Amino acid sequence: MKLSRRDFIKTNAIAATATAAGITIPGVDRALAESRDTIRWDKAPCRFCGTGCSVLVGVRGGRIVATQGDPDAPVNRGLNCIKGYFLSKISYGKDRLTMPLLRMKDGKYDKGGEFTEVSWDQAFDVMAEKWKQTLKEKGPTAVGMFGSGQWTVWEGYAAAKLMKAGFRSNNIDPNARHCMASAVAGFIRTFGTDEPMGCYDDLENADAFVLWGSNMSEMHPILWSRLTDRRLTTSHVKVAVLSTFENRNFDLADIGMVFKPHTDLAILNYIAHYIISKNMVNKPFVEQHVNFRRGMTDIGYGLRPTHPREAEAKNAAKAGASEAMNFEDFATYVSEYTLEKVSKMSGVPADKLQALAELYADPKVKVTSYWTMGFNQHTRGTWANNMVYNVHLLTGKISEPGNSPFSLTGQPSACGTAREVGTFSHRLPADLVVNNADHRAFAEDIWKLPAGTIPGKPGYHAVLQNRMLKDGKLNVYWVQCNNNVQAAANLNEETLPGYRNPDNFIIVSDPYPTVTAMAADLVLPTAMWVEKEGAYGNAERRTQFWRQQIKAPGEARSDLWQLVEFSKRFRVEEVWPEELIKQVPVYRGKTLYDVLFANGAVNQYPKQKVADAHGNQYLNDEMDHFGFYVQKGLFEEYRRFGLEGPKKGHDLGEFDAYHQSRGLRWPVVDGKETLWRYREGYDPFVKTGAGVEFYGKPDGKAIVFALPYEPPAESPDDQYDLWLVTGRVLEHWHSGSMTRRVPELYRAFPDAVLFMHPEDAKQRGLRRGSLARIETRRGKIEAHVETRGRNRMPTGVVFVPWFDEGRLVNKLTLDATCPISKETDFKKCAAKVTSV
Amino acid sequence: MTTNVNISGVLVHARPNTLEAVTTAIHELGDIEIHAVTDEGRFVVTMEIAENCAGDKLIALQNIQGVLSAAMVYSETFAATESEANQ
Repeated sequence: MKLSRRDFIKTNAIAATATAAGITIPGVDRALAESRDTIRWDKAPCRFCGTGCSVLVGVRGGRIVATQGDPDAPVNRGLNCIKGYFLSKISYGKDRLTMPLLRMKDGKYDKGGEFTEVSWDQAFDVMAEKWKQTLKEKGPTAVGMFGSGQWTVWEGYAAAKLMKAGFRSNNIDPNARHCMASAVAGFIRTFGTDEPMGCYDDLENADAFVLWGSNMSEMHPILWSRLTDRRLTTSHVKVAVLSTFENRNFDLADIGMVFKPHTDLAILNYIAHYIISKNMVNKPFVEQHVNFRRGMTDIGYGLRPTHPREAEAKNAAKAGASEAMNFEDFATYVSEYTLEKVSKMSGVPADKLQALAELYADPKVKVTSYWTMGFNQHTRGTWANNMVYNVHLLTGKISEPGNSPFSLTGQPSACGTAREVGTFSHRLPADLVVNNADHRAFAEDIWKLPAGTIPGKPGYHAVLQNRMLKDGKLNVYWVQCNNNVQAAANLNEETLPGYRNPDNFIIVSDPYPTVTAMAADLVLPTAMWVEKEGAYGNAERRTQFWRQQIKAPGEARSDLWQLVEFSKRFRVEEVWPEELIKQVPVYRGKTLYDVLFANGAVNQYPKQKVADAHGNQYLNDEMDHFGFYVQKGLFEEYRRFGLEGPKKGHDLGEFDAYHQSRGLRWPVVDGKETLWRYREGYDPFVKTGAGVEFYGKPDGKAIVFALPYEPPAESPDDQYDLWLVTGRVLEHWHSGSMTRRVPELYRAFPDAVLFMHPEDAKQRGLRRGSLARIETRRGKIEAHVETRGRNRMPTGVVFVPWFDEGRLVNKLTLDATCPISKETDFKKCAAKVTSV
Repeated sequence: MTTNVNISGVLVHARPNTLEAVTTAIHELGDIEIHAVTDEGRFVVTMEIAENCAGDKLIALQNIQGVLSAAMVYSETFAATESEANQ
């Protein structure tokens, strides 16, 4: 029988879907070989969230023409969410930037001028001049960089190296500060080392799932589909969902709980109290593997020191401090969080709270907890992370299949790049930190730098960078791979004044003219996703590589190219003091490119052909330009931090292994990945006979922290009488700079709306579809009211997504942070809504 | 005349007690064929639709009462002749 093209495609679609569903449909055979003759298919991790789905990218004639879920990928098993489905279109928005744009007047740079196309040479000339002038006049603390959990691994590594070693400035921070910092601080405080102990295999092993402030069905749809499959096919499995409003997860929930904002802290202490009072503590586990500490309280809100709320706080300067205590003291500490009291505080019915606590307490139930921004974007975000670990540690439900406290990430390489590479203002690669002299010395040794090159004081974190730009203390600022004018809180008062401060020169690298790019002085056009060779690390410690599939349009260049090429503009004498240079006289007269990248290590892999197992050939524009395999050289140098560094358990595999596999979960030892950390039999770093060893801490014990409920930075009052929550929607990814350029996704959710309860709307003379004004002490925006649909709000709480650059909800938000993690609370501020 | 047609395979999960209602609702949306349904609530469906309408259709599919998750598995767009597109 002759099949038409249409029939071929349809047969493939049915066959692929049936395979993903684990179903055989008689008569349907896949006709791949015949239908795919002209398309070259190759794997790549998705460009969007932290799930790390693998997709097959289909290229014909130098253009991406199709994508499909990768059937061989352990993460997504052939599935793709709606955003992933439209991946093939994100590179082809009509307004792609193809030339550098500099604000100019009368043929010269002028901050008040119009964007004018310039060459890369002209762009880098002006940029280098600004950089050198600022370094000379004010030193390294006046230059900075804001990077990304969407950078590839080697881009983040090159950026951290250029800033911390080259320019000797720790003022580099990633946008992951806005989404993951509380998770990081929680991991470091409790376990002494970053990132989850479990992995996605927990999805098929748990008996109960608890979602804490995680709208998984919209933000991690593929993991949600695995969770749904587990729930529907295994009758004893239970799903508990906690949120400050009803979202789509509640459709599957056995126990759905809407709690009053911020009272998750009280609920977590109630669960700990329940476990102890019912005598359900796993005593042998606790005795062998856990220490107890009492955390500092009254730690403030990370606001400017002059803010009244901050001035009131007694212990803002020592927010991370704690003191030893014992189990009995901890039991007494949490005993005030009784069922009755917490039910009243949280608004959650007592029977539901008890059913939730019982899931954790019952030794027969394997529990996996998931959380995302509800915990992390929280003025007590580090505490919330510590407190969920308390519950898992008291019961010993950790580090084994199905028993997993698991922080889900929002960006594709928040883990792989921002965290593991150490692009934060206080970090170095593989869990090292700048304020530890041994760690700095180790990094300087790997990087072949004179002793004392890396400054020991942490630099400005994300929120502080905006404040310092406004205050004129940070003057040259390079933003790559993010849209922070739209993403950061308190846009009117903190972000924009800094970008437009006449003392400052702002450079933004992006594929598209985002709100941030338009607020800059120089815009650099950037190659994105598969227009370059890349690597991402997902939420389950899985590092995944991809090859360059297509060429970037016009003069667009990857962030990696930009960083490495720009380093050629500086001689060491222009950036380092004489006492450093005289330690290594051979560096005299050399450029930062020579010292950092052509250093005998990064440039040790010569130019080669990149090919897959079928012999298909791929581009590598950076290798062509610099004359060596830049990505491989950077990765292999970076890998030494995990293999030889002072913090164990961060081993990565060899570069080439990742091009051949569907990713590997670190630590990778002898080519073998690790599924559950800290448990003997799974993790090769646990000492024989130890059973469990939290080896990030010197004594191998994790910490249960006694921490209280403390109120949020801002709560509704007579004037601003509603809680405003911001967040995301299924159709758009973060600020929408990619997804809003896909016509189908744009049309599916074109404008941000104001989700509110019908009663709240009615009281204000509004109804579904009305135009409303949303106002806080910091600004106002307008949006149409939505009282139905996916989000069902309780009275007193409204929700506005932040993807829409036409309705910038961050004009309204407060730049209050967790004082320990410095991550902003985007989930709670006081607002009022009126009719327009 | 040619028009761009998108064919996609979608794996849908629905609550097992809503299978009949979900089946009816999927048929009512149009342009979607159901190829298999399991007792646990898995649907194997294909959508075949003008390229610029696929996103809207997928959203509609996800918003059916009882549908818990809808994941795309395969998607390809081809230039169909008028007679093919009308099949």
